[in-house]
Amino acid sequence: MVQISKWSMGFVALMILVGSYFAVPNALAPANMTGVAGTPKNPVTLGLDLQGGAYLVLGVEVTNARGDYLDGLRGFLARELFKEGIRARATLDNNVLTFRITRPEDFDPAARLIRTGRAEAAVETNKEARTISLTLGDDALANHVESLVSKTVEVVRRRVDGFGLTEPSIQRQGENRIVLQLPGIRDTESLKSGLLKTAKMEFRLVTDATAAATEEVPFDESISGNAGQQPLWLELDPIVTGEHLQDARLSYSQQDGQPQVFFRFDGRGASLFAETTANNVGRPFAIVLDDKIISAPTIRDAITGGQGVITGGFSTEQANELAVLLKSGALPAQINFLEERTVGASLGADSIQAGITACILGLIFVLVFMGAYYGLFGMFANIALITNLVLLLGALTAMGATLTLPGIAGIVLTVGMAVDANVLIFERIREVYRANELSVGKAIEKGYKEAISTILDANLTTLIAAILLFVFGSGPIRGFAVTLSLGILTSMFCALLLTRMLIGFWWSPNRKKLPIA
Amino acid sequence: MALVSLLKLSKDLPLLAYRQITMTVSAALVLASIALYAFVGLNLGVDFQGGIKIAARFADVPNLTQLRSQIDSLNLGPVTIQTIDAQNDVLIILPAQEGDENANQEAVQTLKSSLGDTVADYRSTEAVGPTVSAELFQAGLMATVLSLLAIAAYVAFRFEWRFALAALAALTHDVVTTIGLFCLLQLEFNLGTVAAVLAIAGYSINDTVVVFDRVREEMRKFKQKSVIEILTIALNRTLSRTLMTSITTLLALIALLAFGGPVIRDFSIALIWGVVIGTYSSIFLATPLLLLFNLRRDSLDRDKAGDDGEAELLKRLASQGDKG
Repeated sequence: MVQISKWSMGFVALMILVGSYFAVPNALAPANMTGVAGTPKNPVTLGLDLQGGAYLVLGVEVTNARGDYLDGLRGFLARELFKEGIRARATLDNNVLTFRITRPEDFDPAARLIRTGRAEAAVETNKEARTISLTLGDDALANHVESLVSKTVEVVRRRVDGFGLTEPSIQRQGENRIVLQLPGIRDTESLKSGLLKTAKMEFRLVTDATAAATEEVPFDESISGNAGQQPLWLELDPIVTGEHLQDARLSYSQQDGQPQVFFRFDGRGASLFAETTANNVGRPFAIVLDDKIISAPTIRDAITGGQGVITGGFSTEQANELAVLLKSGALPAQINFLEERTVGASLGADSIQAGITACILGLIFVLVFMGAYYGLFGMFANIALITNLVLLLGALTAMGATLTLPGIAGIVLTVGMAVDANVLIFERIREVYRANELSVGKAIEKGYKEAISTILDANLTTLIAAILLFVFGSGPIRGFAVTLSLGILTSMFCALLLTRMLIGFWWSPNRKKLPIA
Repeated sequence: MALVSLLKLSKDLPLLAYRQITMTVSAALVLASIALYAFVGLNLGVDFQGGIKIAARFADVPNLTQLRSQIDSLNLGPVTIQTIDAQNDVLIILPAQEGDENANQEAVQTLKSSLGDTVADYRSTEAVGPTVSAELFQAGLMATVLSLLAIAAYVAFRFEWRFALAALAALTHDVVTTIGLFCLLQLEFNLGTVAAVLAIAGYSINDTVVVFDRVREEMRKFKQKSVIEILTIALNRTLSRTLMTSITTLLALIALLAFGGPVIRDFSIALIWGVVIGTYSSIFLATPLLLLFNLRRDSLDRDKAGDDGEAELLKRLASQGDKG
């Protein structure tokens, strides 16, 4: 049988129909897309290198997580001990946090206090030396890092969302990486600088420098404000921190119309703030952002409403950025930009244009050459090649794959290589026809049969290379691997079934001459 | 009238007669590539070396000398400035910045604020830090090595170890000479190049497997002929297909090189070279290597039967057991 079975023909027809169904939206201008009834609405997803956008890899700084954690613990425990009237000296050395208790009678209460609720850190005591040491084990560290990174991802997500982009993608990758894909972003620089800010917000009482500052327990610290402002001494223990902010947004002062940031605390924050302000009427307090004082107003009355405004001579943009930062919360860890790839919309559009031109011209070159070389059979191969492209585009669209510029290069390469299976078959048919003086029909059958194992071997090895490329490749390279692999599969389908079907339609027992002989 | 019936390719080209010469040429190419790599080196892109690469479209045609001294004054290290296609499109490349991971970002900001309004449009910005570039290099190397081994394993499984070894040697030859070409022309070696190298490996093995497939078939058919005769027949019978596929692939790639735009130009050059060298190595390196590896007419049969090979293996395992 030269012709393939009815079942195979049905399969070919079905594949072409399904492929075209998904491929059609790619050929239509976006405006017409919804107009054609029954077609899927979405063309293939374009990669950031084609539609323009930013690809950013952020690293959450965790190399010092152990030391940072113990350092935070030092401040916290020092204050707790101080509140109990226990005097101690804290040192952090080689990731071991040691408290040396000044008075022997304080040792037991201090050990008890440090032990309670410090389950993450391992505590060791030495009564003779009056030392209490804390270390963070590997498991505890891993838990700590895990929560640090997932909190950071959330903060980054909220900040990016505050930027108002369409369909940003924020994904965690590996232990401490965050991958941002931001299609259509225009101002990458301001997004990046917004992401880098810690945005640690604190409301702290201003204190008298001489009153505190003991030698053993750091209690207050001097914090400077904006340029030209006097540094102030502040109590280390904040009244409220940014964690208790429920809302923050840009507003304008009713007095002078200046931009300002309106904020509202949650229930706990509101009550803490109300309590402290009620007890400290007449004292100034400072609003501190990332260890810089934004403003230091004086408490006139207890602030019980749990809301207020921050003024500080902001421009509208500054006030808006501050509001977004406050609302999204403080970064629990420093982040680094490990990788950035931004493509402007204009380059993306040029690349699409260049890619389509290269694809069409490459296709025309191959079509002309195949037609000229193999004549009628070349035309069959050409129909298969065009169908192959439609199927490839349909498969990419249906799978929701992303088409990148290297992906287009993969399609162009496929155009060149896809005819290979047909070439193998034609050469084989020609060879058996000449050598064995077979009839046209027999030669076609035998040629197909003998070429199949070669085609499978040759394509499977290429497929192996393409799949490994996908597994180990990164970013746009994967797009190349995807189109190359799919192209291999669709080209095998077209050569083995579609071209065969076309040759079958052409063939009849009274065909005495092979066009490629 | 189809061309195929006009061109009568001779079917008896002595393709293996000059195998000493072609193999020597291949060895020389590989050695030259290694020398180029050692003494000239690759022009590593920011992907693998870290650093900053910005394509900027200036509002007016920029004065490059002035631009260079302006960027030099920012103290961001030695700058490379190239014009691309249009006169006001400029590529600015800066080395990886010293300091922490964010140093690159700070440099990008410094540069962009210094250029200010003279730049109408930032076409693309790439900044890769030292951690990621080292990882990308590792991943690229691993992808290449593993792909070659996986292909060789498949060939060993479908054919025989001599075929796998010959294919692996030919693939390595293709990859190494591609790297040599990149050293020679100082084309940018980046992630795209690695993809191109792997595509070359995929293309080259495709060619080689088609020839090997034919060798296997002819070996079963002609029990009387010598191995070299069989190899020559296999090469001749696959020659027109090898050339046809190379031509169509080259036609498509030439379109990609000429019209695909500057972003994938180096990628296209690598692929074109790969098709040429891959075709060459299938015919003039992989096949003669089969002779060098002492392929015999009964190699495939015996491997199928497996008795000798297995006995050999068992003996070796046993002797290892004794030692242990």
